[in-house]
Formats: sequence, structure tokens, C-alpha cells
Amino acid sequence: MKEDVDAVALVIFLFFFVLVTGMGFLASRWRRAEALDNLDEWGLGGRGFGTFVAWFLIGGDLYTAYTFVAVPALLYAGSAVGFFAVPYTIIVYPIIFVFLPRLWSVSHRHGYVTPADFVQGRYDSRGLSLAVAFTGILATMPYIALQLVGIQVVLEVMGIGGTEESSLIEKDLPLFVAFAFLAAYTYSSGLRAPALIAFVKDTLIYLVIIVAVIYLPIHLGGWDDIFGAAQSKIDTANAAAVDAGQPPAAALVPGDAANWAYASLALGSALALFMYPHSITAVLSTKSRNVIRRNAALLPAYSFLLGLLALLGYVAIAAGVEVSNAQQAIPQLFENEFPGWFAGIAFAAIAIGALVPAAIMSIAAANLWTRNIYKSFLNRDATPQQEAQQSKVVSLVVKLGALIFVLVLPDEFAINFQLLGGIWILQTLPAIVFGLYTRWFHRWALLSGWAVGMAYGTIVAYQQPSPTKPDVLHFGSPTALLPFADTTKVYIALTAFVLNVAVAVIVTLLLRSANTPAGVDQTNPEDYYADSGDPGVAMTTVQAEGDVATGGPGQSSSRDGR
Amino acid sequence: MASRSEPIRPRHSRNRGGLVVLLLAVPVVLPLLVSTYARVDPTIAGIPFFFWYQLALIPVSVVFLLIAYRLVASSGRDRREQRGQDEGDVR
Repeated sequence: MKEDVDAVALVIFLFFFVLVTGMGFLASRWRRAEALDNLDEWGLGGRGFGTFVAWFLIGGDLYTAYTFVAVPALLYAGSAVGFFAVPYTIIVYPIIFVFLPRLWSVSHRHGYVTPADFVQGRYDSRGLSLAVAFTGILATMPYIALQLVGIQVVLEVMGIGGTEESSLIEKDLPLFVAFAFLAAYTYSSGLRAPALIAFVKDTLIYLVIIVAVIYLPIHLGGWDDIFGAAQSKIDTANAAAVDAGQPPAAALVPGDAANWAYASLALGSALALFMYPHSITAVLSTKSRNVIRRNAALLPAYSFLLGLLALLGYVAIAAGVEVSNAQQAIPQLFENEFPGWFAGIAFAAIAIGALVPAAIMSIAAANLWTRNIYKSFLNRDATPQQEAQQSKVVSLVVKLGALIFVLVLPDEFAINFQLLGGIWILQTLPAIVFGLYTRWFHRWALLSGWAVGMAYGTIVAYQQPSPTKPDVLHFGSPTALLPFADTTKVYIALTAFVLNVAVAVIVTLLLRSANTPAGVDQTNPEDYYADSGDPGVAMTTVQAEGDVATGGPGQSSSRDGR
Repeated sequence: MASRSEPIRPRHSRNRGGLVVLLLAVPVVLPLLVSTYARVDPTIAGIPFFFWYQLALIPVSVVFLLIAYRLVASSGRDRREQRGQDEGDVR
């Protein structure tokens, strides 16, 4: 596996790394605000990004390096179910189109920075808001860790970062350096840094993938031969599985039994994606409702890219890539098939593709901490300056936590946690999305549903052995048998979600019949339609302060009446 | 701020909202009907149906989203004009 470092690839890689680091620091001067020391500026980039910037930012946020490494790795390993990433990223955009403009409007009118802020304002329940914030932070940490895994894989294929035998520090020194720079410019520039770097990331990714999907099939004898090679690898794997007394698990096209798993993974992941704090952060940084909707129509371009990239997993099989860790398949493919300079660009694209979402995720998690734990429980009179300072420091802590995750714990741990993260984050959907439409659900009922969904999802995920690796007994699969079904497997997150909603409905009925206090709703029905230019919609901080001064529904007036 | 209690959605927006939801349902439902596309044939340029069909769904979903966007954006303009007349200069 280990080979000599390709000097040309390394130089190109370092060039792009230095370039984005410089951009990250300079980003604080981009769209310069009067002051960066409040969360609207540091944590949401001034809430003023237009369609163009938002397209790169949201795209850079959702299509992460880990996706670019892991999805083709699944296909390389013979699991066509991995292609569910494509329907998943088709389904997600109509969902964004429908409900995120509402969240945007109400968040602007009341100065909400996080989804948990909204839940607090809507349900008047610090407990429910804490549950949403806690789930968000918990689900985001391993996600950041996986971005590091993406960089690690690239560094390993490039041959830098030491060998298995070298010490922990020596092995991961380059990763440590990369992350230190990321942490430093996120600290100083906030959300502006990933927004600016996203331009470089996506330009490189588009370039690399378009070249790869045009050049490689021609070079390897066409898609016929590629799928032929994939089919024969799958046949071999299945024959070996049958010899070992196990059911054949690999397939070029999912069989009937896998249809439900495929559809439920796509739907569950699509519903979960916009519960992740980093997605909501990127959406709240846009300047108007129509920017969100226009982007919902334009972002599927990335899904096409992801689909093509997924197929590179089969291309790697046809190109004879042999790696022990499937996640190295794509970087290895580039190293084998392309000259050093182009491989260097590809490696840079993947690594920068990890830095952008890692920055946004750490900002989003830090905002949750600051707004919904620090300000709600520890320092209720925090000034905007204190909030921003708190978030900046916590963004460092979150990244350090993710780094420890990757350096100390085995990779499996981050991947299992990521699997759990998807299950967990979906359990916050009733509080956030249902809350955008109705106040019917009782706050404690939503909290009960959340708790049941979290517990059920965690236990069931723990019970799943891996279908392909007999030594993996826990967290082996995102799907589980549907209760009372013989063969139908579905995504655990979705089953837990249905249970969550059922509990929320039943407990709401009970609490309502007992006349339990439902809390004071801070929002008005028309808040959910407010657009930029409407009264009380904070376009800039200065404007928001003006609203407060004139008694309008600005940020501070909505926070008074707990 | 009495003007904020005025109805700010135009009357026809409910019908239009229904059409928008219908348009958006298409790109949600089609990818979920896995049994309609989980097969190898017909292939295009060697790519099995399963893969090219899902890739083809992406531009299809974009068309539906763009039509929905046009509808919503134009009703937003109606709303803005109507409110401008109803409320005068709110700012």
C-alpha cells in the first residue's frame, strides 16, 4: 500500500491548501461588516448571501468530502444500495422548498440563529429547546470527525502522514496542521471563511469529476466493460459468501427485498438532512426566501455530480484498484490513472471538500451551544459580544473534540456515531417542522416523542450485526427488520421517527385533556411568511436595532417574555 | 403596527399552493418507487437502467422545482403589490 510520495502531486496539493488558508483569513474582510463580534455576522455571515454565494455555500455544506469518499466506496465494495445517495439528494430539495422558507421567515423576524431558538420561541420550553440543541451537537461532532477521515484517507494514499507503525503524533501530524489552520481562520472569519473557500472547493470538484467520468470510461473500454467488471467482482464475492455459508449480499441492482431499505434510506436521510444544524445555518445565512427556493431548484446539479462520482466506485473496480480499505478506492483510482499534477488537484479537491463542511458544522454546533445552553442556562443576560466570543471558543472546542475522535478512537467509532447521528437528528423533526405549521402538539409530548425515538433508534442500531462482516455484531447496518415483518428491512431512523410521532400525538391528547399549560407562543401566524423588506425582518444588525427601538418585533423584544 | 394583522396572503394563493405541492410531490414520489426502476435493462451506453434512470430523474426534478419556483415567485410579487396598496408605506 505504501509507496513513494509523488512530488508533483504534493506540490499541487500544498499550493491549493495554502491558497484556501489565505482565503480563509482574508474572508473576514469580504462583505465587510461594521463589527464581526455578534452571531448574525460571525455565525451567519451577515444573513445576506444571495443565490450565487448560497449555491456554493449550501452545496459545499451538504456534499461533503466524506460523501465523496464513502458513497463510491460502497459501490466499490459491491453494495448498489449505496447509490441511494442519489434519490436522497433528489427528494431533499422539494422538502427544502416547502418548509425552509417558513423557518427562514420566522427566524428573521425574531432573530433566531439556531433551530433550537425557534423551538424555544414557539413552545416556550427550555427543556425541548435543550433537547433539540443537544441532539444537534451530538449528531454534528461525529460528522466533523468523518470529514477528518476523508482528509486522512487522501493523505494515506498520497503517502504522507507516516505508516501504521509510526507514533500517533507522527502519523497524524499533517492532519493536525490542516485542522489547526482551519480552526484559526474559522475563529477569525466565521461563516464567511467556508463561504469563500466553497468557490475553490466546488470548482475543483466539478473539474475533477467531469474529467474523470469522461476520460476514465473511454480509457477503460466504455461503461459496458466497467459494469461487466463490477458484475464479475460481485459474482465472485457472492460465490465466496455462499461457500462460507452466508447469503449472497452483493448486487449490481438492489433486489426486491432491498427496495424498502433503499426507499426508506433515501426518504429518512432527506428528512434528516435539514435537521442538521449546519444545513440550517447555511440556509439562514441567505438574504431572502426566494434565494432558498431558487437554490432548491439549482442545487440538484450537485446530485448529478454525486451520482457520477458514485459510479467511479465501479470504475475503480474495472481499473483494477486493489485496496484493503474501500474508502481509499477513489483517491487510489486517481493516483493510478492520472499524472501527478492532476492527482494532486483531485486530492486537494477532496481535502478542501472536507474543510468547508467541517468549518460550517463547527460554527453551527457552537451557535447551538451559545444560544441554547450558554445563554439559556448559564448566562441569561449575555451580550451579543459575549455570545460571539463564546461561539468562537466553542467552535475550537468542537473541532478539537472531533480531532480526538479520529485520532484516539478507531475509525469504526466515528462511522457508527455518524449512523446514529442520522437516526438521532431526525427525532428533532417533529419539534422543528411540525412546529412551523401547527402549535397543536404539546411541548412535553414532543419531548416525550423525542426521548422515545432516540432510545428506540439507539437500541435498534446497536443490535444490528453487519451483513457482510461476521465479526461486527453492533452498529453493522443502518437498516433493521420492520417490527412484525419477516424480511422487510427499513432505515432505523424512519421507524424511530414514526414511533416518535405516535408518542407525540398520544401524549398531546392526554395533556390537552388534562389542561396542562402549553406555554406562550412568541410567534404570530404572519411571521411565517415575512420576507426581506417586510417590517421586523432583520436584514442587517443596524436595521434590527432600529426595530427594537421603535417597539417592533425585533430580537430582544421577542426574548423578554419567557 | 396594526397593519401586521391584515391578511397578507392573496385569496388565490391557496389554490396555487395546492398546485405547487402537487408539482413538488412528483420529485419526492418518483424516486421512492424503487420497484419501478430496480432492474438492469434497458441499458444506455452500457449503463444499467437502475443507474441512468435515477440520474435522469435529477433534471426532471429540476424542471418541476423551477415551475414551482415560478409560481411561488409570481404570487410573492402579487402579494407585495397587494399589500403595498392595502397598507401604504409601512416602513
